[in-house]
Amino acid sequence: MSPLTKKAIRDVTRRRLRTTLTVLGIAIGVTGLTAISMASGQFTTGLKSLNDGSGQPDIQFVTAPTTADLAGILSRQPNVKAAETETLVSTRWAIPSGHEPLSILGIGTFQDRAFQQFSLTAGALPGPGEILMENSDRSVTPFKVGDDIEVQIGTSSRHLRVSGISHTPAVASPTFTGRASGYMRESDVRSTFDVAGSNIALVRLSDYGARTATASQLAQTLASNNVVVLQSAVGRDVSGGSSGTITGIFTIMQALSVVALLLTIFLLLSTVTTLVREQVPVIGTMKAIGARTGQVLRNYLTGVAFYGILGTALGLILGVALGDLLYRYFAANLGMDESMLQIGPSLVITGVIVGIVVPLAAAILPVLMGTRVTVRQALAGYGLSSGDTRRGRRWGALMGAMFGFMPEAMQLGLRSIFRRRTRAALTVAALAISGAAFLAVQTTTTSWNAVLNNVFTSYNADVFARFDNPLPYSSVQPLVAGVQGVTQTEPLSQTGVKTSWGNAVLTGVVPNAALYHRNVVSGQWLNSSDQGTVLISQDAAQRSGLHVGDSFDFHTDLYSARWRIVGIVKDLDNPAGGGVLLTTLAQANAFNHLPEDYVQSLMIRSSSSSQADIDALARRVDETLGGSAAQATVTTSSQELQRSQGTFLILYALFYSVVAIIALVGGIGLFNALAMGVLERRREIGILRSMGATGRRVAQVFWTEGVGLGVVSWVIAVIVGIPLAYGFVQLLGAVLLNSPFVFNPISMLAMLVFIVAVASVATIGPVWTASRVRIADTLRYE
Amino acid sequence: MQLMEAPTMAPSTETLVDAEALTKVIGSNGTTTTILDGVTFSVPTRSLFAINGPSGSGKSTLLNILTGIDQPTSGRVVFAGYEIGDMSENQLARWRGRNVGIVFQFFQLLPTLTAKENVELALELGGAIPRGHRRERGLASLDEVGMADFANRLPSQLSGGQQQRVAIARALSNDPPVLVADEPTGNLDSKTAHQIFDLLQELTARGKSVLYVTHDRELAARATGRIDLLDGHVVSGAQTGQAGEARS
Repeated sequence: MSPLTKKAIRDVTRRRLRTTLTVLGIAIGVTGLTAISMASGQFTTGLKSLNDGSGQPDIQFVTAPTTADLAGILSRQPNVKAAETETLVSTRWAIPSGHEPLSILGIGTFQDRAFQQFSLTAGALPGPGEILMENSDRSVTPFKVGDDIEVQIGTSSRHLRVSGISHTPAVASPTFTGRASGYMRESDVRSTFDVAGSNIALVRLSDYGARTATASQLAQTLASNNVVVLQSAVGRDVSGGSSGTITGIFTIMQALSVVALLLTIFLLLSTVTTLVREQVPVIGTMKAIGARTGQVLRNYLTGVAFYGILGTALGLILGVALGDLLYRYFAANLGMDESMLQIGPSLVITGVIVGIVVPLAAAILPVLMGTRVTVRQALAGYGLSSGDTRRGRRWGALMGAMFGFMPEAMQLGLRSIFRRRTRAALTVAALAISGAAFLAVQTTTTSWNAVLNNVFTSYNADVFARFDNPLPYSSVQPLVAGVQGVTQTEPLSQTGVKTSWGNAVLTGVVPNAALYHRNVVSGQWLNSSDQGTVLISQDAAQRSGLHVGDSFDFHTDLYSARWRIVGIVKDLDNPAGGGVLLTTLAQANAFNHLPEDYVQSLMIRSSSSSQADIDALARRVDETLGGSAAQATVTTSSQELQRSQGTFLILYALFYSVVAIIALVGGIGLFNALAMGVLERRREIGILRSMGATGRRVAQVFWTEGVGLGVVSWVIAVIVGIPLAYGFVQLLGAVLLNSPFVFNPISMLAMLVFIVAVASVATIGPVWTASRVRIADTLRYE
Repeated sequence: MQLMEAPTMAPSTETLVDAEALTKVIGSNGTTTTILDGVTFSVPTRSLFAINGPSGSGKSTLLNILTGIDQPTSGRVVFAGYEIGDMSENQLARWRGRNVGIVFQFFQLLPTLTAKENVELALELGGAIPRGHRRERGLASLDEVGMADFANRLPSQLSGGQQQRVAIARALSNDPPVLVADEPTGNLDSKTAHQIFDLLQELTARGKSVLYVTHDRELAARATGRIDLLDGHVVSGAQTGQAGEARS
């Protein structure tokens, strides 16, 4: 290795802490981008593979049980390539901690199945009295082949033997869905659970592009054969529409990672500038003994490359590990194949570009500027200069005038803040970005919570029961009304529909609803005689630009309608979508081609307002419905609120993690700047110590400088951060959750505390070093 | 090493350096200061030539101008046949690497390189010695100054005198015709200073020219040629053996 290369490596490695921090900063930038790129790329690939290869039906109907030959009827229709029927029952699986919902799918023939093929990972296919359980069901409670499980449906229980373990792509874990799944022979399902006929129809099309039109036509065919369609799904999206949200989350995380990378570049520039300045006498010597500018430039860029190589290597390893975790989290959520993870050359190339090429490109200018010093200039002042400039003296005079009342040590610290303008500017910029990012995330959580906390304010109900399939209100209302503690029940239906402005929720209530807040802000409330009329929420009105009296179109995969707006209502439900369309229960059922008295949900009012009593009531309702033919998911309103907020908790955690990373990089930059300041001012420190300053006094100088930089950064962060926060909320509103911009002034105080904390932690090392400087070492010429 | 007297060999009649009417004026905040004022002199080859003067006389500035490290406000320098005022910074650096060995008062060794690596660095920058021979040449240069046993030590592990010897080895490594030293003994104790000066004096016997700056009259007296500067002017200058006189 040539002496120049040895010098380059030793120059950067002799200050181990600075090298470690700089390498760490680069590694953080590379880790973030690598992890997110890898996870999002793999997620997209895996989802496509799952959609294409997992045997998902193009159209799926859930019907009332029927003995009609649905498969035959549907197979004869145009554009239908294949059709199968199955029988699905919802049961309750007895587990040590209580009960877990268990969906059992009865399959006619396990061989040559055209849809949703699964693989048998242990045991055998089920025979009479046996069940094949999904592998992910073991997350609920452990079991093995040969075990007996108890399932309850209605008032009866059945014992089934586990014949084997299966793995079905696209079936998500019960951890996320709250529901286990298993397979039995169809004839066994019908006989064991007394089901009259099949209730699931799966269709594969010849022309997938015509699926919507074909689905409508098939629904009419089923209706003409007296088959009641309860639910339908058109298209092969196994994610159930959540892929767009997940992709949006990845996009935002990538944007935040780019911010972290930007800060990493700031950090590197600060380090490189410091290194070159530190080496001015060495540069002069090299040029005096024959080094050309290009050789000197290459020497210092070699050092930058060294930082980059170490940081990239570390970042790639951490990034792959983190990307693996991220992908597995989302893969498990959607039942993707977790073993599909691949590390391609593009990932390494991206890491190299981010960790080595970008830092080199960024460092060229400061290195070139620093190495252009002439031999005479470099050798003119031996040792490091104190950086005394005219502007620096003006700042010092200003600080002296403003803060003359402070102790001298602190004044000295304040005067030194802009001693090195470029370095101070880079440090302040990095800290300001950290503060602005913190403010943006803080404001986002405030804004979102303002929406999420009020999502269910339209409902007066304490408990909600959501049925797996719609059923007659007259069959469930007496059951629930008879439960101790129930004072009132009302029916509710909610259907996801598509509008021109987004996915809205068509909500059906009775006109004289008492458990729904009739908060009409304009127009009129519902009438029982209404036909083709609807109220829309304020959010829907704002997004669509529609007014009372306007008409608009909306549709599901099967049905469409054009209704007239008779009023606008305050309803904050579906904040991440297109708002709410409120109509009578009768109209909602008519739209869905359901019998008039069918309901999807029940709203239940408790006689007690105590949360403990409400929770107990929910358990009683759950037991009552669990012992009937009506399988339902029973939740309290506070559980609904927590579920709604819980969806976003992971996002909050991700955002604050990125903020922490950004703050770490900003703190490292400040550490570097202060450490260099200590080095440059060793002689000054020695003089202070020789005049009687204690180590604590010297430490106070640098602590004040560090915190002073933090406060200056805070001022800039406030100026920049508020519009940035607004932009961030708007950006997230377009991708995830539309919310008003709610700014809490306390956030600025929180940001100040945050920045001062980061600055204080960053000053610990340099302050400790400064307090331990020996006088003799500093006053002697090196 | 023993204190030696100035060599008695007849000085060369060939000129190493021709300095003509060198002037250096610097200014800041509206005021100007004349560091050198019309300095003219010649330095013969194979001489031990001193530029003597008290602090602030302009001798270091003059030396820097002679080696291209600084530029005169007016005047010209012809050094070893090269009009150095016509060269760019990079050309000057390359020229110095091959033709001038520089020894600094504060040694200026690169702190992260060993003694051997400091010398090899000069060989790498000079470019005259092929890569495969640099190690051998480096050790030979260190051996010339009696530092071969300290080849693998860092500058921080060497005394001042040892560091200066390594600096001299570095300056000699590319076999330049001339060594330029700015107060080479200024940072050394008297005994070490004499040892170092004896080493420099030896070099002239080997055919090198040594041009040095000093404020020490005793060291200046050992030169075969010298000029005395005071406030930027040449006040006297004579060459022992009188091949020519410096023009003031």
